[in-house]
Amino acid sequence: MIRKKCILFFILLILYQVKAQNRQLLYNFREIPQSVMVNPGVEIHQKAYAGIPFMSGIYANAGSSGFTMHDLFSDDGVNFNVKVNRILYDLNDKDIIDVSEQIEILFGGYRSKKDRDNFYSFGVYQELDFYNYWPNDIARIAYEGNAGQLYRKYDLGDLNAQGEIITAVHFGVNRKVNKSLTVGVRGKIYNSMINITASRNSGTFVTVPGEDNVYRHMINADMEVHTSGYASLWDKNITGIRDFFKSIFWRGFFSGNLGLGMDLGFTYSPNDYWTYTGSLQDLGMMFHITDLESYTLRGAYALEGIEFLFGQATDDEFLNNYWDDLKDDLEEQIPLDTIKTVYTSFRPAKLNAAVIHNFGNLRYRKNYDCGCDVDDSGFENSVGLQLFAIHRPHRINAALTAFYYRRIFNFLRAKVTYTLDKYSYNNVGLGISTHFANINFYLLADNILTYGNLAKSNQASVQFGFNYIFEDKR
Amino acid sequence: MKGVSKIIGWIGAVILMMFSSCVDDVDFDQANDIVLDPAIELSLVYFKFSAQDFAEAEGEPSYKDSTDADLFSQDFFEYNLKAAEFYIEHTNTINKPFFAEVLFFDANDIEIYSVDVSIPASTNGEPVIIPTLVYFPEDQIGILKNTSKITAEIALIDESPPPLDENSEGSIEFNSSAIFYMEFK
Repeated sequence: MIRKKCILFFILLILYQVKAQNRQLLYNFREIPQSVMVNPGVEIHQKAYAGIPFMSGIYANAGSSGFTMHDLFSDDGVNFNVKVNRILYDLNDKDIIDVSEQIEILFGGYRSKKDRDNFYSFGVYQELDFYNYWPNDIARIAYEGNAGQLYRKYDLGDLNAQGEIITAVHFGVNRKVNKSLTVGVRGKIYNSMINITASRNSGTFVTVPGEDNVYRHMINADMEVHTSGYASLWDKNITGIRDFFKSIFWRGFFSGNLGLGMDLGFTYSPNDYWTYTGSLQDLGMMFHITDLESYTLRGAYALEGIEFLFGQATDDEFLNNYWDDLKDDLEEQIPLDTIKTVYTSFRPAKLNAAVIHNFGNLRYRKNYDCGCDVDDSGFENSVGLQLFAIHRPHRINAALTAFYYRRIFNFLRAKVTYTLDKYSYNNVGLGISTHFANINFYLLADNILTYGNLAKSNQASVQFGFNYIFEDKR
Repeated sequence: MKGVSKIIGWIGAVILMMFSSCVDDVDFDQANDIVLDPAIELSLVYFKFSAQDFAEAEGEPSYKDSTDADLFSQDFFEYNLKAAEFYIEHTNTINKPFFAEVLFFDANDIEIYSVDVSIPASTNGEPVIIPTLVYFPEDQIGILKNTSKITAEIALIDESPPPLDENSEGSIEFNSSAIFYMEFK
């Protein structure tokens, strides 16, 4: 039973992906090759590495800022509708549900033989990203209706969501400019498998006392939902998740809907004690040109009801199509159209920055030979502060992280983080990187205090993977 | 290498432990119990006659008009409408009484419901406001769902002279709205 629930939970995690792709544990964790994916300008100490295909980086993250699974599905005997009610009146339009998943298909990197200050990394990954700001006003009107809500302006702009599945091919160059500065850049070609974007909506619905009748209902709408890679799914017989992924699988290689993106980053260490790093990720755009379907709802309408016009004083039965006429008029004034239109969407751009203080034993266990090419320069401890921000249409979500990093043994490095964001105030994360022979295994998980019962967590993410590290015989 | 597999095994065990304890005391089947019951409030029919409109006709003139109303038999209402409350408001500033009737007809044009309202005369143009509430509880909501035509009729009751003429003042107004109590399961 527990297992069944866990499976369901993870399906929900993947379907209703929640939170914000903060890789606070991976960032600056220099023993993990994948740290170059969050900062192309990270200091790289390896000679070369190769991820185990499909196993080098598996990442899943889900979060919901307003409520937890436990709030909603707790088996506590409380009527489900009471719980829904409780949550609904607690949420607002700033609450977000955010889910992401990423699997590295290929990943590798090597130091240039010609110029040992240059390091190249490359790979292919698949990513799913979905976010949905809580459409507060639309949900309220669906939940309680508009009765008794005179003058209340319902904001139709609350509809703000995006979901996409992409693959990305990337190539990055990392260069040690001098002893204290390393910079890097990564170019990406995105290939969109499916995209749904509803981010530019506005409009209101309001009821006021009427002039000719009891009420006047006024609506104005400028709404659009764009999709690509979606319309063609209608022609296929899709009955489950498996059919869905089968249908979109080949698009991972070439869908016709492409995008370009770039990551930038640097590491600056003016001395052994202090390090500053910063990166920008996924500065990019997707161009949707094929398999398109967009829905628009635009127009304005004021309604006081149906005015009976009465032909004349008569006993004859006058039957008029007032109701049908009203429907036609409404459809004409606020048409719901299905169109094909080329559109662009933005990838969620991410910013990372950190101030790091290094201390403790210098050149820790330099003489210990483990034959596993673990870098051993610098101090054994670091503490620091990290800032993370992700850009979503209309909004920016930010998080602040304090961390402690330690080289425990040559084969074990660990990082503990404490993160403050809108999801929680008690997010403690733990990351470890192990090295045995030439195999690097890492496991990063945040919100570990809630692992006793994940359902009580507002957000949780986990990433793990295996890499093969080539020895540097320098 | 033995150490490696040992450590990997250990890490695997930790991951398994974390995930197997992942969700306690949660029952996702509850989602089936959800009921949404919004109350939708809408302006409905309105009209207005001036005293002169009734002056033109002889005897006791009346006005009658009907609209198609398949609204309630459409799926949205057919399956989810649980109860309804109509609010009708007559405002009379004419110095004559009126009799008003709202009739509901089914698809065979058979009258299935009627609302009768007597509206007293106004004195000195003071508005006489007659609110009427019509409630269709769950066991009567079928009447509304069978309705395909609604007729409104208003008749002047000319009890006493002088009769209305083109100089008569005032108006008789009909306003209406309704609250539809929905239930989505």
